Amino acid sequence: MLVMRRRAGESFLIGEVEIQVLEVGGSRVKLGIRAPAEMAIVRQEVQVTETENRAAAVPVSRGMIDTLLRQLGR
Amino acid sequence: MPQIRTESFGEIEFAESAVFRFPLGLPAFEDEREFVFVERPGTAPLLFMQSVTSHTLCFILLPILAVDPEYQLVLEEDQAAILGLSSTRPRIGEDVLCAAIVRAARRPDEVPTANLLAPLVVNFRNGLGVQVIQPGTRYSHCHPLLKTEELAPCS
Repeated sequence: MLVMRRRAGESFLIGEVEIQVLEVGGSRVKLGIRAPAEMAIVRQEVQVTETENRAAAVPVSRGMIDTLLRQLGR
Repeated sequence: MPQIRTESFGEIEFAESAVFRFPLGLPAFEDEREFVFVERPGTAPLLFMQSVTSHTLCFILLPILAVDPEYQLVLEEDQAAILGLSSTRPRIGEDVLCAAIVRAARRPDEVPTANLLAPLVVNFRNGLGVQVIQPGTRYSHCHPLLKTEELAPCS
């Protein structure tokens, strides 16, 4: 992983995407992103949750419920 | 009484007051705003959250405290506002229902997991819900629900 030090107000480029550090305080960093409108920008934890929700959204059958209860030791 | 024909439970009836509303939908299901909780005999502690609008969409849930009795829920202020809560630390089971979405195992070498990173939180008083993502915590999006020697890696 590339590691780079930046101060508030400084920026860097990934291809044509510019990311600027706007504010640093405590454990939080505020970033500004300048990117083409068609480029999707999503927080990593939101993407993880989207993937997890899609995987969990399956038709529930009695067999699935019984297997799950058995695995949970109920 | 309204009815829905569901893939998982056949025809179910529900009271309008039993509908929970998620103003933002759920990540990947942003258009799904209304759900009902379905109870089935002999399935405790599992809960089932059925979409009112999509008859095929149902989630299996576990009360978060059944997975982790010490679970810490901290809301962002905007999440508390959407839920109509004045506190960002609502009491689980008293102010809000807090439940984890369960992913059943798909293969024999997999274990079922619960998403503790992003629990569903519903305010008991107004029936409003949000899926609350808690980044920066130690909670996993694929917390294994079994203790086995070899856990299938989850992604």
